[in-house]
Amino acid sequence: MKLRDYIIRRLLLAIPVIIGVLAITFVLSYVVGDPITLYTTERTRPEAIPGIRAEHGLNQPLYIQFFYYLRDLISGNWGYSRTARMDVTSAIAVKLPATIELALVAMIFAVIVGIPLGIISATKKDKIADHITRVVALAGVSMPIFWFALILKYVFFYQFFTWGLPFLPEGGRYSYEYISYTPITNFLLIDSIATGNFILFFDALVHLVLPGFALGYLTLAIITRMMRSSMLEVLKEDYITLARSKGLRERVVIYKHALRNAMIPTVTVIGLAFGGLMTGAVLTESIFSWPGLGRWSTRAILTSDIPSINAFTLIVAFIFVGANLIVDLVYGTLDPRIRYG
Amino acid sequence: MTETDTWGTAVSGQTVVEETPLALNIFAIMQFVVALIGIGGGISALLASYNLYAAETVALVTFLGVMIIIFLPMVIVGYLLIRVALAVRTFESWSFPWVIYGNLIMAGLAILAGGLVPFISIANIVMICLLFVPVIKEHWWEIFKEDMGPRSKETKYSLYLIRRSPLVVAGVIIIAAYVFMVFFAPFITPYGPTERNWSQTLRPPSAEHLWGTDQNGGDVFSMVIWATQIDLKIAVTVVAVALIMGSFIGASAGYFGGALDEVVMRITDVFFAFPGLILAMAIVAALGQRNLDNISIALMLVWWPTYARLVRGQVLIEREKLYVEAARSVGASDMRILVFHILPNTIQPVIVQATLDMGGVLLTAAGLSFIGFGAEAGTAEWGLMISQGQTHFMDYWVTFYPGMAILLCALSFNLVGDGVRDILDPKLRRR
Amino acid sequence: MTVDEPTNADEVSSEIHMDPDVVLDVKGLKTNFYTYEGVVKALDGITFTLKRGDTLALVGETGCGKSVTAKSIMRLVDSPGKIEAGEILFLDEKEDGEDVAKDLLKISEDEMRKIRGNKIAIVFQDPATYPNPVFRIGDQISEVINLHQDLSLEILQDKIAQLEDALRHAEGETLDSIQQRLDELSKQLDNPPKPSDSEARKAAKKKAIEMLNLVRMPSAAEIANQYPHELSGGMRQRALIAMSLSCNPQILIADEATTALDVTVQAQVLGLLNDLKSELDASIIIITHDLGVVAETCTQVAVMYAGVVVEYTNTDELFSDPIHPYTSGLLEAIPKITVKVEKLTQIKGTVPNLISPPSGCRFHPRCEFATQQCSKERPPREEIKPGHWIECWHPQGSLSGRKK
Repeated sequence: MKLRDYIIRRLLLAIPVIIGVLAITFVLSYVVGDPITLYTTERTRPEAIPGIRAEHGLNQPLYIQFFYYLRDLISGNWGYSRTARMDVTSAIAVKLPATIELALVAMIFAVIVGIPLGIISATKKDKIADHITRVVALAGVSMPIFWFALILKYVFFYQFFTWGLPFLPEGGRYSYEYISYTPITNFLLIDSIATGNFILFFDALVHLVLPGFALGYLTLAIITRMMRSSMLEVLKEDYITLARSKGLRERVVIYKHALRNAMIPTVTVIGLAFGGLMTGAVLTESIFSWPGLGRWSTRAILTSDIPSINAFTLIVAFIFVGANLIVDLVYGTLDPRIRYG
Repeated sequence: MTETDTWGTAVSGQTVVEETPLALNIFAIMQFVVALIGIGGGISALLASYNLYAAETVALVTFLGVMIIIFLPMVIVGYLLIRVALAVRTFESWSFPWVIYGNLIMAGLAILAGGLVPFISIANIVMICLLFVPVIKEHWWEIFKEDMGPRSKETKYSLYLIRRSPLVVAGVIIIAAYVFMVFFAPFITPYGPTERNWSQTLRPPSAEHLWGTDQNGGDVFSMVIWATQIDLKIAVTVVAVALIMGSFIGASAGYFGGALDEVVMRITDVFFAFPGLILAMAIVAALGQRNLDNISIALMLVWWPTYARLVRGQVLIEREKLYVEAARSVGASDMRILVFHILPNTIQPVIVQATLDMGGVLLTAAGLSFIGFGAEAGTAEWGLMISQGQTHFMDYWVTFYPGMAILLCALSFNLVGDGVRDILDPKLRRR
Repeated sequence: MTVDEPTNADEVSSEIHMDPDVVLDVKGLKTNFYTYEGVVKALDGITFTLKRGDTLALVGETGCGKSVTAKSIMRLVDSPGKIEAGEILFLDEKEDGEDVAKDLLKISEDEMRKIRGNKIAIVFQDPATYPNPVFRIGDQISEVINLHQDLSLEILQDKIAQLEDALRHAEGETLDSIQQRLDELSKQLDNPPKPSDSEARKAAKKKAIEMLNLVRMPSAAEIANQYPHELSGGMRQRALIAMSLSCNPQILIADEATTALDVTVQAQVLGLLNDLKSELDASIIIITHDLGVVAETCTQVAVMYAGVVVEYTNTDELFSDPIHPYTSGLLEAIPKITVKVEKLTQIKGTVPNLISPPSGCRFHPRCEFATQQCSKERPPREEIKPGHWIECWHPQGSLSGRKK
């Protein structure tokens, strides 16, 4: 069946990309700093250095080192992170869920609000609702995310506090001063429900509001804009006239006939937005003291912590490639021309 | 600096002010001589037979002769242009603006006087004289009107659409304001970009410091305006280079296809596997030093694949169109087809993308500085200012105004980009 | 969409009187398009009649307003277009036999929607762009059926038929229970219950396949499950025709429905339309620029030029005695295979710009019989021969020489 062929083909195409990604991270780790520094300090005797090099295989030709690199990756030996003060793999186990939880909340928010907003903007073109939506979306796309995060923090934490209003927390994933938490999956929302600790659940939710909104606003803007423009294009198509000529209610014409077609390019944009979320995480996590990948990676790069940098780049690339793959598959489901064409 | 020195020193060692009268004199004489020749040529064309070809020959000879005479001033103009380039490169230096402006203005005048004016005047004179020849007038004017008709109609329609959308106009005005700030920074700021007053840290906005001071005592207002030079320069240069590089690679890949195309596609795939900011971070780290130049280079490397893909896609579409086949059948070479036929049709989406990307590059550059990848501490740069002000976010002015500056700048680029896209889109254009 | 809704629909329709023979009566239809370059006066008072069982041709060059007329009848004119004036009288045949005459331009949008796709259906020109690419053919047809038709009776009858079938093969206790169920259901025949959603969907799907068979689509059941891009142009057009006929409309408008097809397929589709017309007791309006099609399949013809109906009569009369100069010009322009000529006859000039159309009679700049009067006044519509209407100051044909 053509759908299966399509899936297989997409998966195969992803392989050279992954290889390229691995190669680039490998090369970069070399360029960032000589890996020998991982194993030496200022006090190491110069004579001992060749020995250390040989011990860790650093005197081998590059392609053999690349092989060792791949082998280490596959076997789970991702090195030790200076910045996190633990093994890279343990660090990932703790930090990745934090970022993913945040990113998912942001994405859900962006999709749930963005798609209807885009539809309204398109169907009420040039009316007030449209103008407001466009300005809001445009602002989202033009705004530096880190600044937006700071403003949010300023208003909803600081100002609310000084005005005596209920304020949102300054940062962190939960109020660790008051609530205890034993991690299972490291996804706070899941763990809290699993252990029946509803206070933790709501606390975590409250902590997710500001960072989630800050992170999601840009994606919301992108989705709204894309939805609007693709909706406008679709509404001009002949099959919409046909749908109307059948006597269908305008509502049905828009939400059944037009929407299905307009979603196709929008889904692509949603996939790309995952990359934007990762970027946003890097920029906003430190503002909210969010213990995720973003904050870890910035520190790592500033201190040339090679294993961490490698790990982070790989994860991001995999997430991105994975997201795009899923998007392509969904795309195939939505548009029968791709599947059967 | 003495009176005559205020405009700076020329390459020859003399001050610009001293050099100017001599240069202007030469140009004035050139003008005169050249105009005489032009008039003479035109008149002789008139008096000669009404033969079209004879008139053309006379015009041509006059033209060539004049070109040789112009050549001399062109040489002078040439190295004045080099001086302009040098002046632009040292733009962020805020000390003594007269040096920069002196060079710029003199060079500008030189170009006008030495090159354009005589050229245009002769061309006009000869043309006008020729036009009186009835044969030409009757024949050429009609054709000219016919040719220009649709094109001028389209341009008029475009301008009408631009006027009709207030958002685009607003965007252009804001960009103009920013450009104004770039050039006139020294004149509108009360303080320099690196001026610090350690006794006045974190003061709220006041009469002395319009937008308050930051944690090092720098005046926020002045720093924000000085930062315009840096951030805008990065945005423009990165987009320009990425555009040229990417378009060239993409066009070649799309047109010649085959192995070249496959390779280019895979390379861009890998670049697209990383979100822009993160890839830029990695490249800057790889380049070693964390400074503004490296940010620019990193961003150029991150952005070119977008243009490569865009142009490649367009070329693929155009390549199949009939006019390419027609051109090839009359013997046009591949290069000629690419440059003269296909590229003009791919310009439109590229322009839209470039405008929008200026905003994107700006935001990414600010983001990089924010993380600590960009300007050295102490430079006036929007992202850096926000980064350093994070811990004092309660003194909102330290971070609010730089961020606003980024927002408005990116907003204006997006407004113009959106507007231009809507105007150029052929589907939305059909009234 | 573009016409104001009346306060009381009943009031309006009860005042309208229509000839029971006439199904659609268009009077003085005017439609404008407000564009950047000016107001395009696309339709300037169109008048024609469609009698029951007729096949009316709306003929004219590209840009004369044929499609706009079709869209105006369906009230599908979108901005920047607006229907300015006129009446479109339609004799809505209800199932209970009570026919109601309505002015389509005055009824509410809700009422219009009940008519679209149901009583008046339209088949469009380009089968490539008109079906929705993401839905299956069968689903797109059943959508219309479900929208307009109440299939409760058919569903019930189906169930009864199935049970009667089972009855023949059953024995003993099952026989009794089946008989019981059958009796129950038979009692409901007068007032069939409303079917469940899935029942309705299945019934509609079945009906859709029936429709596809009706338009002579090979392997209809398989096609119903396919997507538009998997079919050829001709098949897609048949599917679109099936879609429009599925609710048994009184009027079918075919807007250049065969223009995008090969000549052979065109012949098949036209033949199909004519057969279906009698099978389904419908009336057809064929919009075309092809006089050959007109001659072959149509009974009445309305010749359009630049937004005006210049001549209206039955086909035989039109071809044997064209009175309006435009019509005779068109007919003369058809090359005759039996006559050898050096140069083909043309009507001089080109179609006018409808933003600033010619004054008076819109055809006068191209007409060899035009006089001063033609450029000043628009000729009135008159029945110059029985059943033969024209708008012209200097009628030709059998009436030439008769000056006004």
